Amino acid sequence: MKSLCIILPAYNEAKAIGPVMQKLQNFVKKENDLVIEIVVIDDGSTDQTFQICQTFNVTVLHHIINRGLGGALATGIEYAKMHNFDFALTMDSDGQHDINDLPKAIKLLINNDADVVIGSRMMGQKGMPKDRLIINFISNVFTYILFGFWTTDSQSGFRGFNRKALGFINVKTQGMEVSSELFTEIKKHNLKLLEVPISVIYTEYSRNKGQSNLNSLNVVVKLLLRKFR
Amino acid sequence: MELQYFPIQILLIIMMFWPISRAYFHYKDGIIKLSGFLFWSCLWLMGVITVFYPEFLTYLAQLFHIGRGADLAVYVALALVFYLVFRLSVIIENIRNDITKLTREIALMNKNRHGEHK
Repeated sequence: MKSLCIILPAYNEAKAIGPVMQKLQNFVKKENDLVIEIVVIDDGSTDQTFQICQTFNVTVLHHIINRGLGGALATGIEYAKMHNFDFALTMDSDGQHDINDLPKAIKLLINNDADVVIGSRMMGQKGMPKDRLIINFISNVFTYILFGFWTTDSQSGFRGFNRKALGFINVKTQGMEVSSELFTEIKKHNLKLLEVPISVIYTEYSRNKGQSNLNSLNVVVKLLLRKFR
Repeated sequence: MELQYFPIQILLIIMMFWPISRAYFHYKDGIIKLSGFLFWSCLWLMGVITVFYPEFLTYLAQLFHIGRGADLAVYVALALVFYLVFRLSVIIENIRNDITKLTREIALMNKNRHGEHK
């Protein structure tokens, strides 16, 4: 049977991660076609994120200090490679992603229709605030200019990889700019990418917690530095 | 030729020999490599030379079609500072990456599953 590693980077998500874990566990119980392991990367959280995750049937990898989204994702991807998973899927741990969107991404990977699947919030466009739509579009333009790759959602945290893609992906960035860096890797190794529409569940919590609009400027600067280093 | 030195020049020369001595002791203690010691020593010796013979800087400035020796000194100093800042940023980035690698290694070694404690 094929195996899937669901990777969730988490930093101070004590308020949201419990329900996410519960929903994922329920999903895993119903899924019969795959062996699934949920892997949470606790990125140096200072709240009870680690302790809460320990109460669920999941694997928790604990960063003793915070390294950023890129650092946490790279740890999860490294874990998936080390344990020879056939597929890996990354998700946000703040409850923004809908578990019901998992099957469509998984199906594309299992059927070998794609090496990489990106869940696009822009294709769904349900529940996405206008400022996020604008910021996302600008990010897409920058990703295209800097890395020559057009996507409808360059900042999506919902991504799936097959074994071939996992073998090639080598994350070097540490912060939020990892989302755009992944497209460099996809283009560099000529991986087949498909996008699927996903729903986005924005709550007051996830809006306050997530990347601020101003931080987008910081991400662009880091991407420029990376590009021209 | 009678050489005249103003007190400020004497003071500057003494001040410039201090970092050279620090560089030497750092090299002796293994804190910096020989290349680092030579680089910083040459830099400060250039400073000593220009204090001793300011006309030398003027001569160089004229060679490069720059107005004054002081202007040349500022341009060179600026270029050097920018280069050093760039090198430092690369070193810092490498250190950040090394810290992340170490953090990852520790996390993977201490993998925690469903209440297991390491």
